[in-house]
Amino acid sequence: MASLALRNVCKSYPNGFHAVKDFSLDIQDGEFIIFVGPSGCGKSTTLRMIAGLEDITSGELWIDDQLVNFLEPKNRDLSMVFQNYALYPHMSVYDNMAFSLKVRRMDKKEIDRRVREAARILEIEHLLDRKPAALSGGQKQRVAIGSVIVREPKAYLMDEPLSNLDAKLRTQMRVELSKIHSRLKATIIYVTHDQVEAMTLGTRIVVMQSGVIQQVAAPVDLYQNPINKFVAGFIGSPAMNFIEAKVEKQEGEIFLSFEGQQVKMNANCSRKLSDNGYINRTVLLGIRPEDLHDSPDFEGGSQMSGNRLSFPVQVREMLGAEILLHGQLGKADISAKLKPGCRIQEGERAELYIDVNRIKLFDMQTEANLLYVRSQYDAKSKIS
Amino acid sequence: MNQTAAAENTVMKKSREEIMQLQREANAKALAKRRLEKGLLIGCNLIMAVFILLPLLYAVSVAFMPSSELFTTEINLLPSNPTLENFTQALVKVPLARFVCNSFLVAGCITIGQIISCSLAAFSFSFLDFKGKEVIFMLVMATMMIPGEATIISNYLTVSRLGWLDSYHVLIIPYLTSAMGIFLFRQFYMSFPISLFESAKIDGCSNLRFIFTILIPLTKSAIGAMAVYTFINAWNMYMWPLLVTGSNEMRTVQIGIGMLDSVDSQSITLMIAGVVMIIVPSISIFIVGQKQLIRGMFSGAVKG
Amino acid sequence: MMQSPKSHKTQEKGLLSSCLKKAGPYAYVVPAMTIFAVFLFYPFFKTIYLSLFKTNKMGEAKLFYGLGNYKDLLTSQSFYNSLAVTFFFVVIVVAGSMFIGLLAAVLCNRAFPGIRIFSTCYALPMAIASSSAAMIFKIMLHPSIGIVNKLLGLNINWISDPKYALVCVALLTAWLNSGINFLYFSAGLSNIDESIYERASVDGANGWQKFWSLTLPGLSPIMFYTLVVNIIQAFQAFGQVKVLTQGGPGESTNLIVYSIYRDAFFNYRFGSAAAQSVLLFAMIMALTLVMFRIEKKGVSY
Repeated sequence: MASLALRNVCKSYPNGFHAVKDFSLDIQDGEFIIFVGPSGCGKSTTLRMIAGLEDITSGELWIDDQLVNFLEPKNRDLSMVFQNYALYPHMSVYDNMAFSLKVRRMDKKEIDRRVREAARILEIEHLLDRKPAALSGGQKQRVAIGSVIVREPKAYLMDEPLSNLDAKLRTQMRVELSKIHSRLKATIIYVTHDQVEAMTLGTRIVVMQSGVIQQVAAPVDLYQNPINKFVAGFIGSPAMNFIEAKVEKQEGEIFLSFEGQQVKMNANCSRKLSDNGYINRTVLLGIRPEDLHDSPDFEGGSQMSGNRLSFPVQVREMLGAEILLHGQLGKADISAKLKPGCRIQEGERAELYIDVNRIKLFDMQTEANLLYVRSQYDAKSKIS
Repeated sequence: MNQTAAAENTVMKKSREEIMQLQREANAKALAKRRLEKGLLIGCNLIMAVFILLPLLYAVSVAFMPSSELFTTEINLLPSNPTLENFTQALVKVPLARFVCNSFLVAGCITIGQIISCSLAAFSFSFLDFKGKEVIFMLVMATMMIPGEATIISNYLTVSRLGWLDSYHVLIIPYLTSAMGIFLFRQFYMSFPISLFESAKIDGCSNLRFIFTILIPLTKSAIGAMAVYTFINAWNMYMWPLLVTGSNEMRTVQIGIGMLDSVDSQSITLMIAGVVMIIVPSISIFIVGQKQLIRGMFSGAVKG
Repeated sequence: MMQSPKSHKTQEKGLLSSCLKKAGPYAYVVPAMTIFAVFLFYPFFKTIYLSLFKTNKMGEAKLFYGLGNYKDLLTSQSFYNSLAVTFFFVVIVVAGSMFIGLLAAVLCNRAFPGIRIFSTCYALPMAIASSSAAMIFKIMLHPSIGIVNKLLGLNINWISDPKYALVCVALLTAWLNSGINFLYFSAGLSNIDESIYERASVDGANGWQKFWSLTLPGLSPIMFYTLVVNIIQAFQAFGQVKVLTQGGPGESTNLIVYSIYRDAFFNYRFGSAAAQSVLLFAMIMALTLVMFRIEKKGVSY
């Protein structure tokens, strides 16, 4: 296994389209790195540049202490799982898994041992003689993973490997992938557009948009401390509610007011807003649906119980373990995630308590998170 | 963790310039390699193309050669005094214009006839249900196994007994349908959901109307492919016209051109000029219709 | 029943549609099936029938001869020669045309400037008539003025020398058939999923390994189909023989189809020609069946 470093990597096409801009990242040995972002954000392109399937327009790619920009894919000693699995259709499962070892002219017995070992781990021993056409989606997925784990490459690259599976299988394979990672202690770079996969699998997540890294952070940091509105809105489901609000100062206290409602800020928010001169300006208030409650019965809830959000409920979705309420407030769509005991019905007006200690505030123009706390990763990306 | 630090150290050890230098070198090397590969590929293709086209290019060259120039022992790839004489002479010597008209008429009728009869049959095989459908379809497919040459004698005897010899219809009628065409269209129609037909029926659309207003527009690419393929094959037909036509009035180009092929060595350039003239229509149609042909015949129907 | 050939005349659509309504689904297959019946099924059985008779000059069956025609053929030196010549011819044509087609398709597989022009060139021979091509080759292979002898510095009488005549006709046919093979193989290549090449390069395979373990096996289904079509097509070569060699010199290019033509229309031995037609059909049929049997076991995936 190995560490990788990307320094100011850019990708542009002859037609002038810049797919990836100034991508810098250090990946340490054994990390499970996720590239996540909406489609077209450059995450797959970055992965393909690492694999050597796309040229790097400018910048450096280091694997351990070797500059590999100009190395052929076959000499980079990486292995990759493709979105459509890319199984060789005319070869049996066994030959598919053995292919990368055969082209390296490895000893037949050793190949056999490794293929059977991988098949045992993935529980596909009974499929070894089949052709890919005779496999189900989930089985193909396992074979694709099997064909990469028979080798001991410097890193595993995975390009949306679960996106062609149905929801149930995807959850199952997610767990399997986690297990494989902890068993192999491997460096894995994993591309997905699914934030749930990103949050559950990654040790660190790289959020990308329009070819630019937005934030690099551990899953929990990404959730609690998003750097800007894009990241805050991308992570979490349903997505964070964003409400345009005016910052007002009354009797030494700072409030946000919108649609005839007022939310009183806690000490931290008040300080940030007044220190940065946001008084009497408009900011974007971000509240996660799970930070709205139908009783003040949460940590810090009773002190700030005056902070309510009132909106008409248009749709009520009962999901069993939770209830989702959807409505509108001015221009903003509002969702709330509540406990199943909630009795608010469609057509009624919801009066929900806001967990003020967990709200986010964003600048209207730059969309930067005003409450963002600098982390170790930022320091690192500054150096590199 | 240690390894990363080490990696970072080596990065730091190398100065910015060194890296840039390294990168420039590798870049140049990669670029040179890519250029070489591309050049090699184009070179190979050029050689191959010349090899494939050699007979045609040579024919064109000879067609423009005065016949005196052909009879030398030197290598004479290109005419030194190009002339149109051969073309005009060829047109005078045999009624080539008539042959070309005949061929256009025959090939055109065969093409249109095949498209209509094949679409009708394919429609029936893919959308309608009737007794013996499977058997009839198997019969159609079985005809692909019978080489035309195995039936040509009996066919000749049949048409001569009917008194059809030396006429247009004897050239056209036997070729008004083809198993391949039926198969191709059926393949295309089968890719449409049956509900397409059912909803048209509910909307009060008759079968014929469905074929002409829905199926045919939807299968333009298959029809295009079929048209190009059938026309070229009909234009190039040789054995059947050779047997059933006798007079100049009814000859098609492929047979007519043989009239230029005489022992008289002076006429070699004439003959080649004639050949070039009759190749031009089929090649033009091929070049114009090539995209259609490939899309209709090779991308959809022929899947491994 | 002979209304069918008129079916493409659109002014009769009204009448036609009322006819169609009555006849139902069968009406749509009648035009095609009528042609097949008159010009394929009937002559097919007629040929078998004729092959059992001695005929007069008009091709009428005059004297029942039983299997006599077949017996005569199977004891005739000329027929065995025909078979051998046809066999060699088919082998050369199929191998040659498939090789040229495959080479061209592989050369045109990766994009480069001008690829469209090159692929048109490679497919072009399929648009050329066998008789026209034969006339061009006749000049190219001419012993004194032909470009082939001039370029190679040889003095060989290609067409009148029994050693070379068959090979020349076969190579000409291979050239003619290579165009459509190029299209088949190109279609086959584009059916191979691009991402398996990407996976192979990450897996560590070089270009050669990719060609042998991905491209060729990936082409195997289309390769099989092309092989069958090519063999059937090669058996049917006629125009080039008629124009270039007339079956000669000696009988060195007397392919079965040419032999049928000669027996029927020069020697007026329609019975014998019919028997040869039946045997030709039987051979093609048997070959096709055998190949499909092999394919079921072998190349499929």
